[in-house]
Amino acid sequence: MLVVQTHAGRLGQTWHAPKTWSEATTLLADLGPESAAAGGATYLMWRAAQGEPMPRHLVSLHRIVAGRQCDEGSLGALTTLRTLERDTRYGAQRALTMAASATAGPAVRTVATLGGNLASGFPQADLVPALLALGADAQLSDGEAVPVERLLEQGIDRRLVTGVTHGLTQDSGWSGASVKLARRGMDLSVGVAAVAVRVEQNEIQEARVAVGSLYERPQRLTAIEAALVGADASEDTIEEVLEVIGFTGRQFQDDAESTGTYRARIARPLVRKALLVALRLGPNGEPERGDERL
Amino acid sequence: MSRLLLNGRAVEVTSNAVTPLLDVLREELGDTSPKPGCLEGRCGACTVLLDGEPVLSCLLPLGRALDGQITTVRGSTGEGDPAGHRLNEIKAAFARAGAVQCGICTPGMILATSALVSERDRPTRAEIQEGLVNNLCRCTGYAKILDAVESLAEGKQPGHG
Repeated sequence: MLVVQTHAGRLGQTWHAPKTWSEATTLLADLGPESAAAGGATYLMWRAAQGEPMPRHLVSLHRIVAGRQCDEGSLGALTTLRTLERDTRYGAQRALTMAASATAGPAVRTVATLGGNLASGFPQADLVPALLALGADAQLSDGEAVPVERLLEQGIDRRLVTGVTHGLTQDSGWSGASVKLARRGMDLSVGVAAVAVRVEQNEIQEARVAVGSLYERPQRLTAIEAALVGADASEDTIEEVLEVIGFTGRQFQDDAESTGTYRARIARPLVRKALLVALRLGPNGEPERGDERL
Repeated sequence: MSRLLLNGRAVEVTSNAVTPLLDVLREELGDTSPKPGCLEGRCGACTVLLDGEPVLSCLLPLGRALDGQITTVRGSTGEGDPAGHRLNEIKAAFARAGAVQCGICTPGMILATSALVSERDRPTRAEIQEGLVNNLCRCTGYAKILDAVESLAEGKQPGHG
């Protein structure tokens, strides 16, 4: 018989499955630095398969019921990517739906969670640019709400993300989209662009643009956002804005998925594509898959 | 000792709850239908169903599986069981289409197909490709696998119009 060569479970790790956020935080505090929380545990198990050490205590959050809501403007951290991709919500939150639909494959999305995608600190996390574009706040287990942007910079110590909230509602006219470029279906992304825009009378009133995988960590492109405000919602104008503002001054990421040189080449078409999809769909368009080709 | 719901039956397991479900199924329970391929979530040969949804058993800790119903391709004879009947239909479609060569990917392909067609009655070719994106095949070139799944949707026999 073939023997699976992973150490997960073979080195005496202990499994904990609390039923409330309070139990989970108490457990993590009691168990200390040799413990880690897991949403779907796919990332931790994948790391174990790579031979990386696993925490001695794995605190699985999957039994916590109060963390699975998927409402407009309020999403539980334990919402699975399968649930997110099936969400038919429009408006800006569509960016999240599209990002979920382009993450790994269905068999990963069944158990992978929104909170895990955000809290793992995984640089290629596909949902994080959408959360940035939404201007989302992460709700933490101690009751504090932290902008996702700040969470990426400062981390969350040993607190848990219990959910995310945002205020870009469909009825206020926001439209969102997320576009991912990967070599093949299951590969990590070469680049992800997520946007949220609000248009009135064919003029962009507000714009939020974020990218992932291009740089060391996901980030907003505030200069492009500012230049888009007041611009015509047309392909030519968007192209012009992106050309003028450009992507210079940032160090593109070199890794196994792509060179920085290639990422520098695809940054502009990736962001352009996300903007055009958001504009085409408008606030009321149905979500599309988020891995359109450039 | 824990209780795992496997193919409609409760079975006792003693493995550590952090152990990948794939190891538990193959080594402790003797169900070798999920295949150890890449062991890192890229090939899909180890795919099983958790409450009807596809999961990669090489990346799923046993503890996560204990709260649901696990189905492997050995799942059912189909007698009096609609899900098992569907699995048998899919197996037959794969056989008719010549979609099986070395067979390593086949159990995962069949279970991923089962999840796909339970969600969409008539998936398009693109939807089938997306539904099977977790599952790699190094023999068939995929065309006959896609034909087999399409034939299920169309209720026809591949190669016979």
